Amino acid sequence: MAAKKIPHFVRDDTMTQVSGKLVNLRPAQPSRLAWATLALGLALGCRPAARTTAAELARLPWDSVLARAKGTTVVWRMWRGDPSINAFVDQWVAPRVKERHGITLSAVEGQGPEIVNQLVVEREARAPGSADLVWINGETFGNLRQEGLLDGPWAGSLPNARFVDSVSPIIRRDFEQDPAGYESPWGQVQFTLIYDSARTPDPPRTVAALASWILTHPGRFTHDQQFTGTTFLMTVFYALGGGVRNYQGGFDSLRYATGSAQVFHWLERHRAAFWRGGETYPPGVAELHRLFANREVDFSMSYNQNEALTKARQGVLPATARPLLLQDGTIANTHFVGIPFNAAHIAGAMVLANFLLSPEAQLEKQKPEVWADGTVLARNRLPPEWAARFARLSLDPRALASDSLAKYARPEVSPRYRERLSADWRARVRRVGQ
Amino acid sequence: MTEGSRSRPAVLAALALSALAPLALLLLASVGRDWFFPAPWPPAMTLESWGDAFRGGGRMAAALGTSLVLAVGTGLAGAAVGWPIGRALADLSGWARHLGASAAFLPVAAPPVALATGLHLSALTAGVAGTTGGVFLSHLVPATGYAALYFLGVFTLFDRRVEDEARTLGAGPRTVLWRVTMPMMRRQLGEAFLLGFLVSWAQVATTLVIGGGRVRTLPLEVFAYLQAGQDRYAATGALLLVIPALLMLGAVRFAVARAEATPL
Repeated sequence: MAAKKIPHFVRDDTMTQVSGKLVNLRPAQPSRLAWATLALGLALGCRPAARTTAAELARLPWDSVLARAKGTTVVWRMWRGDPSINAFVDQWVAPRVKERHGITLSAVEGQGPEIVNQLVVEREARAPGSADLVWINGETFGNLRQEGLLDGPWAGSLPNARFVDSVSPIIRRDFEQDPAGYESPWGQVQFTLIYDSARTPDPPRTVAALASWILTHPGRFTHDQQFTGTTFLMTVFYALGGGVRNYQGGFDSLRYATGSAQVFHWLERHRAAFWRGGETYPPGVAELHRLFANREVDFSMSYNQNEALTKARQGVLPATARPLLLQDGTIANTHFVGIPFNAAHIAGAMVLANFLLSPEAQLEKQKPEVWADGTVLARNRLPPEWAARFARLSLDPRALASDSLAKYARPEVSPRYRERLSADWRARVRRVGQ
Repeated sequence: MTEGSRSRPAVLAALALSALAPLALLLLASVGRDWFFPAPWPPAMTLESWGDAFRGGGRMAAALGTSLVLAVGTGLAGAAVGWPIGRALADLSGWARHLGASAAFLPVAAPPVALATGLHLSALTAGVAGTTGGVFLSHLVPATGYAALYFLGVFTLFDRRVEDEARTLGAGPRTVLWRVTMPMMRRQLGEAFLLGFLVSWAQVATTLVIGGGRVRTLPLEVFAYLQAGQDRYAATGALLLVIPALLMLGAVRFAVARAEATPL
């Protein structure tokens, strides 16, 4: 599979299709033959031959990219399950890229494996690409790169890329993978537990303290079976295995075997004190939030340091819900946008990615009442007036301070650790028939 | 009065309660804020999710419109395509009939995800993936299966001598269809339409895969909100999902009753 040639990159320097010159042609009455050819072409899934790649566009002056982007419709495939994120994209980003760059933004549903499957099937069918920009990271990025389904490199050529905090280990690597210009960062998040400050005024702040809390409060703690739950297990994996450093530098099956044995031993010791005796687990983090909100368990968790507060504002979690950092270190990562190999409007996608990196968009996105997604820009690289605005950004007093977030942030390691841990958890802990 | 008829009001009341209570609960969930156990009802109310459904981008309203167009189209086309297939199957006998019925049953019985993946490749090859037309065609596949099986049953019991009689009296095939068979089948046509409507209305996997995220129907919105834990939005979507289906059920029943009351 991986050796398959990418069926694109037909070089053509005239680029009449991209610049939209075809529009000016006098509309002639198409002959029957032309229609038949068109129908045949559609049926066979042929794509127009002329196509400028993202790497070629990245070498052009930015003005030229802007000119090509004008008038295009950019389809952005992303997770659409949160009204706050949807409102930011549809009501804040879309009108601005329309007004400033003449780009129509169309945000459509799709995430993770869906994106990979979609692109694999499109390649098999040699069909035109259905998305111009995709919201990805980690495993999805790895799979897309391995299959040659991403266009690039282009991310470094964006004018706003100079503001990116490229020193941060969390931002310049994506689960230890080098983005290599095939994806552009646009947000950073960190795992936290969520507790209710009214119910648990003095919550445990380390993995060891959490373990004894679980034993003294049987039935009041659990984790979900999906990504967030696995991130919790990875937190325990780091903590029991002597820190993230022991797992950095690619997947090591011996280290994994030792580390995971400790995690499963830990789980075995505490399992009986888990919610429902550890016999069953909530399927997703949404269900865990529901259990937490309805007082069936005392902790929830999130891979966004601000979700406790945004969800409390939405009335999904109690108003007294707060984020909680474990001092053993909690995992942080960056999410990115990439351009599929068969994107129809690469220039438009690049202009949109650049706009998402602008100090203006990053600041808006980070506002607690908008989305509270962490910025990927370095304050010391910004123009002073923007740095001041980021500094002034009235962080919610209930939120975690940015310096303690940074202090306990630990990078993701090779996605294979997570994949294996999740698969082994399913095999060893989760009972058959769930 | 018998024992049975005296208890009838109580039974009816219990039925009405069991039918309406879930809807009432959904309505509360769609406006309730900060509604957590053990509060019997929401301590605060908000119309935010209803406002968002129709205001601004109006995602849910747009998805509702797409769902309606797809369902009505699928209902009509499913009945139109299923009729001749069902009739042709009813004319067969022996193994050919079993084979035909199995073929019609296949898209109904296949796991939705498997069906969707297969249809996706076809839709991509035909250049209709990611379009409402492509999603319509993908809904039509299971809807046609249902309608064909339905008409197979209908035409197996149908007394063809009525058609023969009309033909003896000099009616051509078209006249027989329009003036004799179809008027006799008003109720069945209405039910076949409803079947196709509901099949399309409830599709998730085919819409998601063939629509590629671009074609947004109401069930997709409800699923996205449920998975994100946005129960207030999900409840709003669920109510929007129930109401048109109930209205369509009522409308078709009403139309059929009226049509059957008028003499042929």
